[in-house]
Amino acid sequence: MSVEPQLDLAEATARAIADVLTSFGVGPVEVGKPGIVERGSNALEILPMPAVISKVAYIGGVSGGNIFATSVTGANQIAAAMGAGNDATDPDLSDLAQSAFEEAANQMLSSAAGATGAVLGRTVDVGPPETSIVTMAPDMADVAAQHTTRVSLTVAGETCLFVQLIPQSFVMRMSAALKDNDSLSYDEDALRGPTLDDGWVHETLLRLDAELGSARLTADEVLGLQSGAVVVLDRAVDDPLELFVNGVPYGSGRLLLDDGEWAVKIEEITTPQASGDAVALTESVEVTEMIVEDVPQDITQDDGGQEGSS
Amino acid sequence: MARVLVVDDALFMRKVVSDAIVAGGHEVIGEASNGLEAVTRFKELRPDVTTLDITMPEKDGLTALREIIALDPGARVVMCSALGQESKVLEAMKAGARYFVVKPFEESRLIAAVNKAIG
Repeated sequence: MSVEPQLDLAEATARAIADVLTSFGVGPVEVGKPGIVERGSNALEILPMPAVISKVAYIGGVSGGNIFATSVTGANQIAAAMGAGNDATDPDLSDLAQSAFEEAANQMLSSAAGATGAVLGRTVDVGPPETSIVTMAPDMADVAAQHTTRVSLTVAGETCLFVQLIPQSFVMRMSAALKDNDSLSYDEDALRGPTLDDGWVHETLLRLDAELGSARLTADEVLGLQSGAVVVLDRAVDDPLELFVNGVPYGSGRLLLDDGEWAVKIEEITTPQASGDAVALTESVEVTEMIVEDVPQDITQDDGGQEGSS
Repeated sequence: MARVLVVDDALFMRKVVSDAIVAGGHEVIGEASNGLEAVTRFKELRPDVTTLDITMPEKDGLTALREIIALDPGARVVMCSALGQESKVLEAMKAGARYFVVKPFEESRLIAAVNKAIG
């Protein structure tokens, strides 16, 4: 499979992180070239020790996550820029400085998750950050099955690493989205993911979604919905359903009842498999996707500096 | 002057938010470091305004918000979210939050949100 989608994602998320770092007033931020970390390699082994590592996990049934790591000096510099009142050259990290660094990492990694969601066309949520000071690169064996990318950022002369642990479902969805947008072209293998020659693929559980249609509503319209309201979808009654496997477009079909259960009869499939089979839907049929286009005016947002929180 | 409960899992952010609230002429009557503690402290203190982080361990800010609104439908809560959490903002609005600040924020933004909440 092509590695370009992962690299595109790494570049987009690293830029989001650099923007947040810059907003802290930490000084010049240089973003390096993203790279793929080979399986079996430790993504953090190039980091000078001792290091401060902050990681967040994706939540909502998605594996993977994001890691931001730097030296103690780098963490002290970021904490000082946040306004923790610490000495940026201190060889140790005080509790308040560590908390400030963790908050900085939280904001950076949340922004990275938002950028990931923008690339994927879906919401990507992360849990709270876990931060620790380590004297040797932690074992990454537990995430060896993920796609892993790494970007170096130089922040006021100190090296920082942004490591992204990307689940396979993201890669497949991203490949399809990029192809749909026609902004980049990928080979067909990238859309299909692993091949059936890979033995483990046969045992993998996949999720099939059938989408009836979608609607776009403003946040105000969504908040104004009451029981009994009717939302018109963008699909006619006799239009076929769109099918997705793990979020990747897979074909189209017709909704029918099969022994009292909703089922879909496959009419067209985008990968070379037999059509005409009726597939019972053991999971919910996803009816609609609502996209917030406008933010109500009573939301107080700020895209300015860090004065108060630093 | 408002009596404010500050909720954030980061010690640093509790200090930043508390300092801003005091600078804005309000009183910080308590702090909590997760959603579980937030609900307990809300019951004890019945603050005029609660500032609530979204991503926290034990119990996240959205769950805590729903429980606080269940306890007091008129509770005035200022949500503090990071960039990239726009979907959570919509969930928070549906749960009853009406005031938001997005981190990193300026002190004046937070004070304005607290003032608006008690206005």
